[in-house]
Amino acid sequence: MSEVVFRLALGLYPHRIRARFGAEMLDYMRANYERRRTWRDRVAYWRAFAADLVRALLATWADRDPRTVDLPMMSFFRDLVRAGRDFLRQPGFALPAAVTLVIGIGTTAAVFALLNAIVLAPLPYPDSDSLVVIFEQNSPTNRFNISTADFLGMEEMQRSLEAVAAFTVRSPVLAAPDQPQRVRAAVVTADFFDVLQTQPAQGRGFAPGEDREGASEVAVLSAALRDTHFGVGGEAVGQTIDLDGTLHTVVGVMDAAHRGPIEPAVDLWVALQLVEPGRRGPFFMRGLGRLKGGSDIEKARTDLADVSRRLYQRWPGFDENAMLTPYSLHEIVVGSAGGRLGLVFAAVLLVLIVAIANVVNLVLARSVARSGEFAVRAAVGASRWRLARLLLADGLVLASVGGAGGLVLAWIALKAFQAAEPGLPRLTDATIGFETGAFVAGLSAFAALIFAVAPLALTSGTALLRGLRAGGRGSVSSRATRRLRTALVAIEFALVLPLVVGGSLLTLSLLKLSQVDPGFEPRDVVAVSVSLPAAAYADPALSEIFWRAAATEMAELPGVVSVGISQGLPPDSPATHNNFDLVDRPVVAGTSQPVTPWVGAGDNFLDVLELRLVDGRWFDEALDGAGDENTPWNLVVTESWARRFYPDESAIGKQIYSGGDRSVEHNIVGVIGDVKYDGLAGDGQTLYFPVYRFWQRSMSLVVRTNGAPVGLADSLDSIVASLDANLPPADIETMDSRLGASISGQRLWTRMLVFFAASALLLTAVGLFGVLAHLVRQQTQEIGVRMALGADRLAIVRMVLSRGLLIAAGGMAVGLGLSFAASRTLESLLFGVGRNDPTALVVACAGLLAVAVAAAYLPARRASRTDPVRAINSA
Amino acid sequence: MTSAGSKPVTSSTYYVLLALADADRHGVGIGDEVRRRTDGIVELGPGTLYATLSKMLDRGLIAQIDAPVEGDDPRRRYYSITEGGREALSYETHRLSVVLHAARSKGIAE
Repeated sequence: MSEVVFRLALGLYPHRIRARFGAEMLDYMRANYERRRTWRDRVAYWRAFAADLVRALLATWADRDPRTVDLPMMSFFRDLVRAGRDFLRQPGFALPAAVTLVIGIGTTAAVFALLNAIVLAPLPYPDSDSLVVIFEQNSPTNRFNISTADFLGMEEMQRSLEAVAAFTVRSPVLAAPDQPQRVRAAVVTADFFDVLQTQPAQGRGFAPGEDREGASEVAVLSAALRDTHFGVGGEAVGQTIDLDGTLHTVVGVMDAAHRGPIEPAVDLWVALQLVEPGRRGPFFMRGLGRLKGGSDIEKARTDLADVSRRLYQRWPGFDENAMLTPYSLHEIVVGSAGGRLGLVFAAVLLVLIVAIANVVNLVLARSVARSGEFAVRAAVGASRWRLARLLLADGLVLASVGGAGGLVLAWIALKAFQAAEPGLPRLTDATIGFETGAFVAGLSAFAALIFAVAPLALTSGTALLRGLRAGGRGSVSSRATRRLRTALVAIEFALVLPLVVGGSLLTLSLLKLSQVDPGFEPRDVVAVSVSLPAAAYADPALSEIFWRAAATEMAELPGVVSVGISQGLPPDSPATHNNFDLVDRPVVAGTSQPVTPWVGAGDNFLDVLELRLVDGRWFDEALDGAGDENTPWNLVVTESWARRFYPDESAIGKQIYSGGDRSVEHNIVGVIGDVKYDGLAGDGQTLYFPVYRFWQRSMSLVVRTNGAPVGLADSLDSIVASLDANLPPADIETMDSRLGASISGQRLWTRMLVFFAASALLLTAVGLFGVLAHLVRQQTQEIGVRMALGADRLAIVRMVLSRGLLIAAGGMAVGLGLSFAASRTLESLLFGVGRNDPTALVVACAGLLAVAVAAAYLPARRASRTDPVRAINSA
Repeated sequence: MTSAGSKPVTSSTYYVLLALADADRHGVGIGDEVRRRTDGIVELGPGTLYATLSKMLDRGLIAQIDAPVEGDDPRRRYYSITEGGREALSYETHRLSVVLHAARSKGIAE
C-alpha cells in the first residue's frame, strides 16, 4: 500500500529530479516510513509526507527552498482538526447543531432525490421532450380517449407530427405451466416503437400492417417478463405465448430500461387489431406522437384542431367541440405527482431554512461565549482574515457532519418511503446518487459559509477590543448578536406558520374526506373480482354460467349471508362511464351528451352493500330479466343523478337513450341514495342497469358475511379455481380496505406535509428556547435587581413569557401574509375546506402560540428562581 | 571567499551542509543526522531533501561520490561537501552566531 503511494508521489516530481534521484527517494521514503511503528506516528507521517510533496512541487516550480513555502491549506487543515476537537469537547453545542443539520439536510435530500427521479429526469427515450400524448377534449376539464377513426384521420391529415401511433393498456391473462398470471399489456399500433425511436434489444418491433384486423398476433416482451416466463436471459424470440387464450408470437424483447410509455410499467407490448371504423367512436386509445423538428406543442394543437374539424365533417353527429389535443408525454407520466412533489419540496426547504437558522443561532451564542478568545487572538496579532478562517473551519466541519449524516438519513428515508409503495410514477428510479450528492454538497457548502459569515459580520474591530477590555468575558457585539438571534427566531415563526396552516388545511380536508358517506356499508363485505379471458368466454352465455355458478356456490359457504354481482365497485371503480340522452329533453345537436358511471348490478347487490332505497324499486330478475341488450331495460339512478336531471319532479317513469342509440327507450324504475364511484370527492351520480341483461367478462362478486369467517379468502379462491382452472387467482379485497385505499394518496401528502410542519415547529421551539434561555442568563443581574426592588416571581415569569410571545407574534404577523399567498398552491388538494379556512388559521396560530409559551416556560421559570442577593453580588 | 560561499544559504541547505561537515553520507544518512542534531525538531521530507540536494549539486556546494564502504547497497550514492560548501557553511554559521549574540544580549535566547 505505502509502496504504491510512494511510486505515485514520485511520478509527480519533475523529470529532472525523478531521473536524478528516483531510486534514492523511494529508498528514503521507505526508510523513514518503516521507522514509524504506531498508528498515530504513521498518520503523522502521511500528513508530513503530503505537505512535503506539495511544498517540494511548489518550490521547484517557484525555485525556492521547500522549507520556506507557506502552505495555507496545511494550516487550514490544522484549523479543521482543531474545530473538530473543539466540537468533541463541547457536545452541548455540537450535538444539537449536528442533529438539527442532519434532519434538515437529510429530509431535503430525500425529497430532492424523489423530485429528481420523478419530475426532473428525462424519460428514457431519445429526444423525449418532443413526445406527446393525444386525447380528445371537449371542455377545459374533460379529456378522454381517441378512436380508430381519430387515429386514422390523424395519420392521414396531420402535418405537425413526425409520426403518430396509438396505444391502450389491457390486463390479459398469460397462461403459464404452473399458474396463469395477469399481466399488464400495452396494445399498440405498428409504428409505436418508431415514434418512441426505441427498438427492441432483441428481435424486432412491429411491422406495418401487423396492427390491422386479421394480421398474425405478435408481441414484444419486457426484459422482466422474458426472465420470469422463459428463464433469466432465455430465448424468447420466435416462441409463442398464450394471452387470454390466443397464441401470440414473440417477435422482440425490450431493454430492461423500457417499460412504458406511461406508468405503471407494462409487462409486454401487443399489436392492436384495428377494424375499419363505421362511426366516430368507440374511444378506447390514446394517441402518441413525436413533434416535428421546429414544431412546438402549440403548432400541433392548432394542426390537430384542424384535423378534428375535418373529422367532424366526415363523421357528423358527434360532439363538435371535441378536439384532438396534445399533451407532453412527460406531463402525462408525471401527472399530479409533479406539482405535489414540488409543494413538498418547498415545505422541506422551509424546514431546512429553519434548521439552518437554528444552527446559526447556536453558532452566534457560541461566538458570544468565545468573544474573549477572539479578543485575545486579535490582540496578539491575528488578522480578521485569520479569524474568518477559524470560523470557516468551524462551519465546514459542522456542515460536513450535517451533509454526511444527511445523506445517510436521506438514504434510509428514501428506502422506507419506497417500501411503503405510495404509488408514485418512476418511484423505483429514485436513488441517492450523483445528483443528490452534488445537491447535498452544495447545500453543505452554503450552510458552512453562513455559519462563518454570521458571527464574523458581528465581529467588528472595536467589538474585539471591547471584548478584551471586558477581561475576556465580554461580548462579540452582544447587543447586535441578540438582535440578530431574536430576528432569526421571528423569521422561523414567519416561515413555520404557512407550513402549519398548510398541514392543518390538509388534515381538515382529509377528515372531511374520511367522513364522506360512500353510500354503502363496507363492514363485513368482501369483493371478489374476476376477469374471464376473451377467447374462452367469447359467448356471453358462458360468462353467465360462470357468474351464476360462482354466486350460488359462494352463498353456500359457512358464514356467508348473501352474494351480489356487480360490474363496478365503489368508491373508485365504476368500470364503465356511458353517455346517454333524456328522451323528453335531448341535448342540442353537436354538443356532448351527459356522462355518468354506468354500473351493472344484480338483485342482491342492494342488500349486500346496504344501499338505501329512496323511491320506486330495486332490480328483480322476475320483472327486469326478460329480453336482451336490444330490448328496453329498467334502470335505477341515484338521488343526485335524479336531482341533476329532474330537479322538480320524480325521475321514476322517465326514459333515456343509451349512448347514441335512439332506437331503444330505457325506463327508470327506482331511485337510491348516492353511491360514490368516482372517488369520495366525486358527486355520486350513478346509473344502474340489470346485470343479467348484459353479462360482462370482468365483474365482481360482493360477499356479505357475518363477521370474519376463517379461511374465507381461500374458500372463495378455490370456488373460482374449481369453476375454471385456467384463471389466475381472483382479486379478493375487503370493502373496508378499498375504502381506505381510496384516500391513501390524500393521506400520503397530508402526512408528509404534517410531518414537515411538525419538524419545523419543533426546531422553531428549540430556537426560541435557546434565545430566551440565553437572555435570562445574560440578564440575571437585572432580574435580581428587579426582584430586590419588589417584583414578584409572577412578574418575572410574565416578563420572559411576554418576550417570547412578542417574538412569536412578530414572526406570525409576517407569516400570516405568507400563508395567504402559499395556500393558493394547496387549492387543488383540498376537499370541503376553503384555502383560507378560518378554522385552519386559528388552529395553526393557536398551535404556534402554545408552542411559543411552552418554549418560553423553562427559561421563565429559571428566571423567576433567581436569587436576588447572589445575582447582584455576582456583578 | 568565493562567490558560492558568500551567498546566504537557505535553511534546508544549511542543515544538509551541517550534516555533511564531518562525514560523507547518503540521503537517508543526511536525514537521520539532521533529525538527531535538532532533537527531532527538523525532519526533512523526501521532496524537500532531494529538491535541495539537486540545487546544491548545481551550485557546487556538494558532490556525488561512490559508496565508500565495501558491500553497501550500490544504489546508495553518497554526498560529500565541497570547498565551496564549507565556505558557505562557515559564512552562514558566522552570520547566525552574530544574530544569536545580538538576541542573547537582549535577554531573548538562553
